[in-house]
Amino acid sequence: MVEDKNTNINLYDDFEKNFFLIDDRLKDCPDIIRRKVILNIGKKGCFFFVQGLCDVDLIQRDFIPYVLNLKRMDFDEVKYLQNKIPVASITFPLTINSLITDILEGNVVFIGEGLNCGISCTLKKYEKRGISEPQIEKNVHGDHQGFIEDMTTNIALLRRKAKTPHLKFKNFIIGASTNQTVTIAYLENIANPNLLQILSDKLSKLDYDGFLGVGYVEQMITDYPNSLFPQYQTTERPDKALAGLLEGRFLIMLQETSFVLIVPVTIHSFIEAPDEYNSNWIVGTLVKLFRIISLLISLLLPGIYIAILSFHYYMIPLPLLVTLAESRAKVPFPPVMEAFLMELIIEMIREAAIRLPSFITTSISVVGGLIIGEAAVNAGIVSNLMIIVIATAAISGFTIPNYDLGLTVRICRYIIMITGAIFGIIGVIVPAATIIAHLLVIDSLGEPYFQPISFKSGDLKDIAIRAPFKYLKRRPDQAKPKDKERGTGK
Amino acid sequence: MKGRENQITSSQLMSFVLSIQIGIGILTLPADLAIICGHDGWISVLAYGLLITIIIAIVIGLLDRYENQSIYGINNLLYGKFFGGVFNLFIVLYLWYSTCLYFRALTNILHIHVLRLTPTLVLSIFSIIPIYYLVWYGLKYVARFTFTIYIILTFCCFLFYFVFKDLRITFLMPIGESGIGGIKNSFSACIFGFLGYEVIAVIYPEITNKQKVMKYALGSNVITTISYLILLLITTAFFGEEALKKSMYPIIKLSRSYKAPILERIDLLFISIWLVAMGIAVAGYFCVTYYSINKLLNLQKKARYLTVFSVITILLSMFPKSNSNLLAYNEIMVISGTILSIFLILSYIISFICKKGVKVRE
Repeated sequence: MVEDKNTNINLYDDFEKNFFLIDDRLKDCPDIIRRKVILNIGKKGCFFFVQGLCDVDLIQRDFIPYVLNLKRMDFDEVKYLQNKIPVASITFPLTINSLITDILEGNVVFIGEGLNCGISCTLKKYEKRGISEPQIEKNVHGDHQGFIEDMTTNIALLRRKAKTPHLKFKNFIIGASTNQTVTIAYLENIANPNLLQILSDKLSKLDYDGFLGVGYVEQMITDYPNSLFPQYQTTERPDKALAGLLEGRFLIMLQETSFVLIVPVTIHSFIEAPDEYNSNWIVGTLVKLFRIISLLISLLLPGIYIAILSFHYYMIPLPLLVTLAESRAKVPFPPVMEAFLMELIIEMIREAAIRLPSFITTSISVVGGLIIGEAAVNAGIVSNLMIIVIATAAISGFTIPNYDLGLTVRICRYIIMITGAIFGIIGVIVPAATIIAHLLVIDSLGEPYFQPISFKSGDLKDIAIRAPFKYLKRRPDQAKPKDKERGTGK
Repeated sequence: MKGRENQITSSQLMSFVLSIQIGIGILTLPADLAIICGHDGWISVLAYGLLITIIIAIVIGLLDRYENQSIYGINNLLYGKFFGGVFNLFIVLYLWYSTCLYFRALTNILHIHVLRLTPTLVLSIFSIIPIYYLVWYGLKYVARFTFTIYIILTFCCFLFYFVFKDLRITFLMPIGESGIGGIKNSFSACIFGFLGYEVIAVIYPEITNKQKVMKYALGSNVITTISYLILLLITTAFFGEEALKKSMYPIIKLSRSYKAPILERIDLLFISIWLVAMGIAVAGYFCVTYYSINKLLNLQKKARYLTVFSVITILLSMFPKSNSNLLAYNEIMVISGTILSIFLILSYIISFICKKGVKVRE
């Protein structure tokens, strides 16, 4: 009876056999409703749907009565069937497998005696989160919408912002066990077709049982999986996503996740936020510069401080040296131990604050920040200046708008702190040079990651500063857009 | 991506050659010139800058006569397999020698000015990390990295600007005192500063837009000449001839002499920034040498051979024991660099006689 259970075949003429095959595949799935009926013309039939994914009211009102009232159901009549059932989306799958896929996706499926195709009708309704502002990407001036876990809503959000027929979506099914849809969104008139081909190849080669988040996809298709730096930008903001689309980039959207990936990106994409573009260009430039400076501070300051304190104390100005020596005199540890002690405490506070409810977070910050900080100085475990340096580095790390890059900067900072404690100022310069070398080597979807620095000096006006819009008429070169000019070019 | 990891553009060639020329050469040049020709070092720099410009033009003229050939290919065409192979071997040895010498100069400075107690071997191993990393991925990435030379030169300009008010122009007078003899005697000091242009002959086939090579290669030499000129004028006018003779690395001394408002000891800041420039110069020679060995012997297992190559380079760079020792080794590099330049010019002339493989022009 093995052959009989093969479901990758067209429907049989025998209704009972079809029903048996589908029922057998879906056994022990109590959420799938099988509603057997007898049609008005006396033939047997059955409706299948998943409880909780379908709008039962609408099914009862707009689908079941019309099917029950069908006059004749032979194969020749199929093309007229869709005229007789007044629902928006209706298909007629031929194989049992596609019927089962449709059922699991939330369609309501009907099979009937004498009908050698199924009737699959999309009337979905399921619980989903409302559109709200993303928690980790807040902003001041921009809109406060965020993507949610429902792909249809996300696509609608994009479509609402870009009313153009050029906005295209390309679907792939991934996940051997989960059968998720992953979609590439792009603007056909701007995006480079070669990159689309590369990306499509990568996605269609994915082989894994399930993708719980878009980070799974990112790590599996990235060219440098061992790099600390994120090569694909994750965002929950439709405006960031649209900005990426308009620069000729691609979005990778995964079903049931609220994060989308933007590819290809440069390191600079991670330190910009929509706010700079919404406000005046002078203000935008200033904010951008602050952010770049704070990135450098967060990366280098503790390392430089440890290096100078351990090896090159003669670089410290004399008035500062006296107070520094005073506060250091009480501390028994070498500077690098001191620094790591503080970093450890800050990391613990941060980790604790992420998971706990917000009313406990407040007391953690009081205990962590005030009590431990103040007491540590008094007890002679760390010096005052070290607390300032580590806290400054931590706070400047928080200004990085992207969470992934923030983690990267933290790890690099620790490495620089250790090498700085061993090799002094050389221990800061050599890792910093290695980081720059690494940034120059890696690419995002085959496009240089550190662009436009050292590649296209013309694009610098959108990196180091935020030039006025009249100078930003050209799209950045990174994604190799087909249409290089923004606007109609008049 | 295979096969493209070595391709560079003409503008990348410019920063590549510039950083090899300037990275190490800038350190000793003013002192060496002061010893030889007093306060007239800048005239020598101008003269030799011009000479090197002509040599670069001839070298590119030679390369341009052939279809996408490096000097190794040209040697084989001009002198046959055996003699060409011997010449190629000598060129590779010269490049390797320069790599080790430059690397030693870098670790020497770190040893003298920053970490006196750390063994040189440890410093060498630590500072080769970024170089190894870049060379692992190929010439293209080394060339990309060399853009930092412009940032570093800008920083130098700030330093020059800060000391500007302390300059005494009278130190430069009377102009031309040392005469033609001074220019003649300063040959080896100047050539050491300008060496680095010969790598063009090796990496020429990897340049993507060859019609602009001449412009950018000469551009790099012009920037080098101008930087040296400014440096010499400023150091001479700042220290005076006699003090300059006695300083080992005048540019570091210059940064130490400047008294910044809050920070003490600007020289450390300067060294740490210039360290990157020196690193690029080493990386340039390192990369070109490894590239040459790879091309000539067609090595496949990169992990093994590059590591072996790096280890040998580090060990060889341990050879010079003292500063004066290092100067003697510099002299060898200058002589062999000069021989290579003359060899390239001769090859250009011979290529008109022996026309095998020469590009046919319409």
